[in-house]
Amino acid sequence: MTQLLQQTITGALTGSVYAVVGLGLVVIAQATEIINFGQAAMGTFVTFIAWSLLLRLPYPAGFLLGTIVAFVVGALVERLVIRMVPEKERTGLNPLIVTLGLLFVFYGLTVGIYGGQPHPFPQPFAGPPIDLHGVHIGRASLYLFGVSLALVLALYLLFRHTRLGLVLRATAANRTAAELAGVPTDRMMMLAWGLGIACAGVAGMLLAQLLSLTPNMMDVVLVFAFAAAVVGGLDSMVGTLVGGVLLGVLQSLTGVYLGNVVRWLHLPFNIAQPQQYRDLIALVVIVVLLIVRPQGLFGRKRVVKL
Amino acid sequence: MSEKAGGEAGTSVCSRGEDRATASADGAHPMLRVRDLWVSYGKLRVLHGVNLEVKRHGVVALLGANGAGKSTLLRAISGLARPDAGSIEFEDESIVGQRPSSLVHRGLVHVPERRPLFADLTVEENLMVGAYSTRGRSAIATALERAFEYFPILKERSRQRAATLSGGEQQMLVIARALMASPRLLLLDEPSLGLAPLVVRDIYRIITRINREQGVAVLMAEPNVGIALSIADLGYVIETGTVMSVGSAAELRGSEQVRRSYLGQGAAST
Repeated sequence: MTQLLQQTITGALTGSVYAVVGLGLVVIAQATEIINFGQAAMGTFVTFIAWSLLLRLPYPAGFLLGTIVAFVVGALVERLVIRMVPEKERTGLNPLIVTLGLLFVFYGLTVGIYGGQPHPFPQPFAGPPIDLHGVHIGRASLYLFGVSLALVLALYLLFRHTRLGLVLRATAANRTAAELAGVPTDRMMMLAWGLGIACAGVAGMLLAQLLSLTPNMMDVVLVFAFAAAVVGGLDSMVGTLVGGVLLGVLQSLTGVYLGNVVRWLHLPFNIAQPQQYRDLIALVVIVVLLIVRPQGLFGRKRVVKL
Repeated sequence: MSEKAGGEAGTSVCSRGEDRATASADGAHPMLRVRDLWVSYGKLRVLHGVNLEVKRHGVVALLGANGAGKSTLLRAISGLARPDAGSIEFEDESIVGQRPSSLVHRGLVHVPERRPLFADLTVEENLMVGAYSTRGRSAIATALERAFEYFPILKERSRQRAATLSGGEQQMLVIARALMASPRLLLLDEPSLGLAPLVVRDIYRIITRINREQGVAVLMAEPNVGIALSIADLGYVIETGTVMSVGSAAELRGSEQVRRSYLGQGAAST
């Protein structure tokens, strides 16, 4: 029982970071109708920059500066790369290929500049795990959860309760109408990319202090972030948060209990190392959800636009 | 068809004997001046050297069948379509190549056809987006108050999602949203599309009021000639991308050609 609780809590805490990366994807996808495959690579690149800053700066300053760098990188990529895709091609396959290109460019930049070896990342709250009646909660995980939750909340407030958020939502809903209403939609696109990559950067810094900093530490995270975003139908912030946490829990439980479940169901095979199947679960969730509920668990059913 | 409902706002203010667009007899500078405008979509040329003027506080109607190029002309003026050649001047400055949003800030607001609104946002949120170019809390509140004054039904519906509005209410919402930007020139594209005659009459009554009370100039594309000429000072008949004739509302109503081509059944039945 304690183990179940332990695994659930650990999973939920980790899952929050999937939600943050997923939210970044949602913000960008909503505003520009582009799925950014470069999200994780860009987040990792920025985390390396933050790491080099943190060699000289105290943690809060480095963290804040890292977030700002992420925002600027996102905005610049929109301005210098995404906007170069001809407007007519913006919704087709081309931008997808472009963001795949971003993945390789930023991965290459990271490895080229910083090398491939892992680095320890400073932890603001180092120390032994907190013991809650036999359930151990790592401080790094708890910190990751706290910041993730704060970020999700901040984004939610921005989008739901400010004029800027309203204008961003309007731009996402109908770009031409927003432009004709006086909204400089090109600037809104830059802003959305800035926010989206800021999410990826924060997620990268949180993960690096939990694991350690490597050029591909976020590769798998991107898949889980996609899954979380898909749970939210690629347009729901709450859905993405729930999706991320749910996936974290599912992943954590799979790693421990999959063998038992298989045995219990009398399936004709054995799972010797359930740990190896942890990541599979995200892919299964994406596929099943896309078939059963393409609009996501939380997304509103789309009316076909004529 | 019961479209002869017009006339209640009978406004043939200017009736000059001129037939060419370059006529601005009053000597006053026109607010909008389009000269020799050529526009194409891909390889298809839609406008072939259009000339047009809108005076300050004037109401100008673009008449002509579907596909004549009325919408394209409006789109070119508001920056949505890029002209191949020609000039567009708004308040004596060239505006070719400017983004639609920056033209909104300068007071030129385009209300496109098929009333595109933000379906998932509430009525009030839609209006607030329109107020993007308006700075200051009190200025926005004033603009909102004014929009609700012209369209009281929107106040009742302010918390409803825009998608739940009727067609007429949606048309009112897009005009009200344009009003939030405090325009000096309003481009209206087929505000009557798909609406019941009574609703159309209401909307045009409000447009006339906005023109008179706010001094907003109006350039509208309206295939319904009867109703368009009932509120316009001046009409341009556009056919296959060129201006066929220009005249005051009274002149155009009297013109045999316009009568035959556009008043159609309406004229035949009276």
